[in-house]
Amino acid sequence: MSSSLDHPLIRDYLAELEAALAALPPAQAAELREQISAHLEEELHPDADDATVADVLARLGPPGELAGAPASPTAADLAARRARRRRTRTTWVVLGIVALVAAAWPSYVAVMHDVGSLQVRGASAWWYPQDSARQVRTEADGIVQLTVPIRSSERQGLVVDVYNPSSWTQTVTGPASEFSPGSPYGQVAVSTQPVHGSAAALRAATYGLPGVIPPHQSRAIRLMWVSIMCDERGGGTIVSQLVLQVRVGWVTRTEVVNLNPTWAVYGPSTGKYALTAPACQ
Amino acid sequence: MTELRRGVLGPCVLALLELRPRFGLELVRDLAASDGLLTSDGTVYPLLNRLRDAGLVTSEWRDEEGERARRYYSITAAGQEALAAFRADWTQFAATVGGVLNHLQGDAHIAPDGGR
Repeated sequence: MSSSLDHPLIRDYLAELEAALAALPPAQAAELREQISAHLEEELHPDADDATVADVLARLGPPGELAGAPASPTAADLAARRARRRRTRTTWVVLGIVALVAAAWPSYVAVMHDVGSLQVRGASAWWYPQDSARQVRTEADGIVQLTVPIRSSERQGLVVDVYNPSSWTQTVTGPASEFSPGSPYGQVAVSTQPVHGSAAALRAATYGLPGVIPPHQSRAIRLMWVSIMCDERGGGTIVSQLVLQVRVGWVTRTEVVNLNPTWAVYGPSTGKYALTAPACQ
Repeated sequence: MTELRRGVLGPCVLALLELRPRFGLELVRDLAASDGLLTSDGTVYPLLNRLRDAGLVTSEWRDEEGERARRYYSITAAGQEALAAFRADWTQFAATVGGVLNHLQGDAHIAPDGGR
């Protein structure tokens, strides 16, 4: 015999190993085949007797076991296992939080929507003194209306004091919809501090957006617009509500703040917004 | 014990390679020389492949004059780090297990008296 690999016992062993290696990726199988063959060639003399060959093969272990031998976990394996456990733990924690939030979210939204809306309370005024000077106060069926002449294409506005009756901070983020006379959109801003007193004090305050109104506190809300309406003589536009986007907690909702008195700009539009002008046709 | 043997075989291979590079059969013989460490000689080869895949050992063919061509295995820097970590863990683990085993042995002697 020229090589120990030609021994019948070894040929049988290698054939059995070959069958077992079929389950492994080709590169891995080729490597193991080469290692085992080298082991046998080196361990056994070509003329080794059957008993010696059998002993070496027995020590080598069954081919099937060799091909599928669970190897000792390496440090890298252990680190990967730890990382997998960490990832699994983190995934479960995240899923738990998501499930809790999902379960609680409808209740939370309902609670936020039930939070008391902003209420008009305290002082109010036209923003520009020239409008205040020409204001006409009328009252019918308990509703007060403050009317001023329209200043067509010019900026007009009003400021009202509002109160947050809830125990939640309410943050005004802007107007909720287009509304007249602030075409296309009125500009809303909220005073940064409570304002007490006269129209002059309301006008002197600092305004910004978003506007935070803490629980049980008041802030002035200013609504400005450019009067680009196409009103006819005898007509006018009434502002009886502020429709606002208000954030409460994590929920943003639409709040309708009813105004009393109501505010009106009255009279024919002129210039670019006269009824006969192209913009009004 | 088989699982315990398998668990420590990798670090033992790394420890042998830390001394010098060795070829497969040489490693098998060295490990077999330590009684009870190897359940079968063949388990060393899949283990070597796994250690290499994990970057803890490298292998290269050496064809030295008068010798047959052999694949030699060497420990890598990552292998040395892993071995150092295992040594630290093993020392602590062995001390803990030894402590528990000795304690239980002590209890076994005490228990009959305590039960009287």
